[in-house]
Amino acid sequence: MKVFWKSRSAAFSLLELSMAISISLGIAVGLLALIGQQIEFSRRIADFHFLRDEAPHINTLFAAIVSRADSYRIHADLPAAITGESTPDISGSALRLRFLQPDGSIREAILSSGPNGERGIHYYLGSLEGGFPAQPSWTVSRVPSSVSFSNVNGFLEITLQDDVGSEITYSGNPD
Amino acid sequence: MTLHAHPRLRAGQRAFSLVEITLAVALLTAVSVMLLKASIQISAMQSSAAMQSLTDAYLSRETALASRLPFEDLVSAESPWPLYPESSVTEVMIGRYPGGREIRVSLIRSRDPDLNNLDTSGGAGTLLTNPARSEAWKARSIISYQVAGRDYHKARTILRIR
Repeated sequence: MKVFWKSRSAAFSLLELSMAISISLGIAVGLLALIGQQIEFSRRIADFHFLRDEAPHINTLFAAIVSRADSYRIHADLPAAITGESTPDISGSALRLRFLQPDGSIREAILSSGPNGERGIHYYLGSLEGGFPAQPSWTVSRVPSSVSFSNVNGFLEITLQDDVGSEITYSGNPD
Repeated sequence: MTLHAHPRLRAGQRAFSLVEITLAVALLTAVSVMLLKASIQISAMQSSAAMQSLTDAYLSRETALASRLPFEDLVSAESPWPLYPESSVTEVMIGRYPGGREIRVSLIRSRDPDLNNLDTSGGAGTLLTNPARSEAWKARSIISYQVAGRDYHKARTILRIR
């Protein structure tokens, strides 16, 4: 006995195929939208890196550094702060700090961006003889793209910005 | 001999396919809703963490200003920290989120005298309890803000003595 299945029962109709393709496309578009959404959220999370992860550490470090200083002067940039010969400015991108030592001597340090305008905020600890190193002694943070010090309101304000437009301002006074 | 598929069987297979498709779409929708909810929660956490940094930084400004302000200005009638129960409420910009959006919060300020101040300085002390005539004031700054629909308040108190 030979058995034949009717051809219509073995295949799909054009309508069925169209529906299947349409639904598959719909699901694919939905999945792509989900992936796009996740990528967007990942980008947003990364954008918050400065305010979320770096800012609290910077706050702690600034509070420790500035409160231990005895006085400070603001200079336009790092070279001006290193020479220290120009008249201090009301605002600028470098901060020269003075620390009175237990033996009565003075040690100085500079907070500024990198030596060649590199991003971040760096700490240059002056030697006992009074000079400053060419390279930073250590780095507070590499994330800020802009660093600004100001004494417009009668106390020290440090404003930091990153590449994606975040901005935060710290304040303090030497003790 | 030729076998024909039973019409009821074909209809049953199509109905089963429809159920499968419906389940797949429902599952996809459920996953989408879960992911959206998770994303919103993550976004709120980012905002919360960023606000902690921004408000802490701004309160360092309040501390610096209250410490630097001349004592006469602090206790004057035009003081930025009015005598409690009076208070000043201002809206201040504390920083910017990614994208440059300004973050504004309410800043409330008031000051309290120390109880041992002489009565001329708002206290209940006498020359017996306060022979040095010292004068102490507590300048209080409160930041009020919202994250994900919830209200938060953060305060700093700065003590000034002369």
